[in-house]
Amino acid sequence: MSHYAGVVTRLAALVVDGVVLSIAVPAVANGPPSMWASIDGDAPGWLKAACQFAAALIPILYFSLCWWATGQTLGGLLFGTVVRRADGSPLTLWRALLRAFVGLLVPLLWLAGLFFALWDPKRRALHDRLFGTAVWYKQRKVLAI
Amino acid sequence: MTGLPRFALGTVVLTAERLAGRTSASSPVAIAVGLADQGRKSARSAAKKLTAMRIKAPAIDLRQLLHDAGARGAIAMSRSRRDAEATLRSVMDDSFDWAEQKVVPKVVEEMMPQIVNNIVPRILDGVMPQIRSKVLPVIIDDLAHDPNVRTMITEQSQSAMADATLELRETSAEADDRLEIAFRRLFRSK
Repeated sequence: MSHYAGVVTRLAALVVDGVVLSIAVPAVANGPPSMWASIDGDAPGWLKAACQFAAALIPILYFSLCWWATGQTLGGLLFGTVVRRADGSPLTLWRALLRAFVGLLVPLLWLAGLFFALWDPKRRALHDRLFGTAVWYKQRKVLAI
Repeated sequence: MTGLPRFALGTVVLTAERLAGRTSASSPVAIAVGLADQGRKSARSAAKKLTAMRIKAPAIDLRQLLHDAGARGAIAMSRSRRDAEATLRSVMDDSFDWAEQKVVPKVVEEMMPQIVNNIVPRILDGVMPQIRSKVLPVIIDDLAHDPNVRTMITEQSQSAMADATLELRETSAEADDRLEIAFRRLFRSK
């Protein structure tokens, strides 16, 4: 019984995060302009641009802040996984930000890199090796400690 | 004093005690009973002696006679009361046992179809509309606003969610292990 989360759990958590973002991003991008439009006609350009910009920032902010603050995104919270450094310490903000940025920049490589966990003793994906991180089962980690 | 007279006396004493409290040895009733008992015994003894030999009767001390009669009457009444109480208790116990074993089941058995088919439906027909219109709304309202019930529902919901989450985590962790094992077997065989 490994203390590290495997491919299935990590993919499932990623799907949950994807669902959350697929709701949040359009809501931020289109919500305020739509509200403006329903009250006072067409929304101004600056509002649309600001909302588009905020929506574009949401994924990176979501992942990096969650990993930095608690080590858990909503998907991780549901499946009981937590992202930590390889020695178990929490991620710094920069490390979390960089991990999220690279993951969102090259998502296919990120997904393909997940399968490195299948033969790694600590179930580390490619990006985990790159950023010195590991994904733990929170409950088993607590029990192990 | 024996047999039926003793039982009758005991019953009377029990009844009198229920009505007027316990009888003492100095009471007129005890003295009368004692005199009667003593007189009966003296008469029987005298009759025996007269038939056997002619003896002169002793002088009677009235005060002593009354004292003896009172004591004797109290003893007689006490014994009679005790025997009557035991007899009555036994009779009552037997009666209750008999009623419990023989009468009550039969009565219940014979009444049950009548109750089920006629009485209960009529009661329900009469009562249910009242319960629906007056009682149930009050109960539901009370339950809906009862903080204990709300807390209980919240705790049960949280518990159910926690159980479901735990199940999900265990299932996904098992899937991780199986996939990894299958992957390693595949590459080891090659």
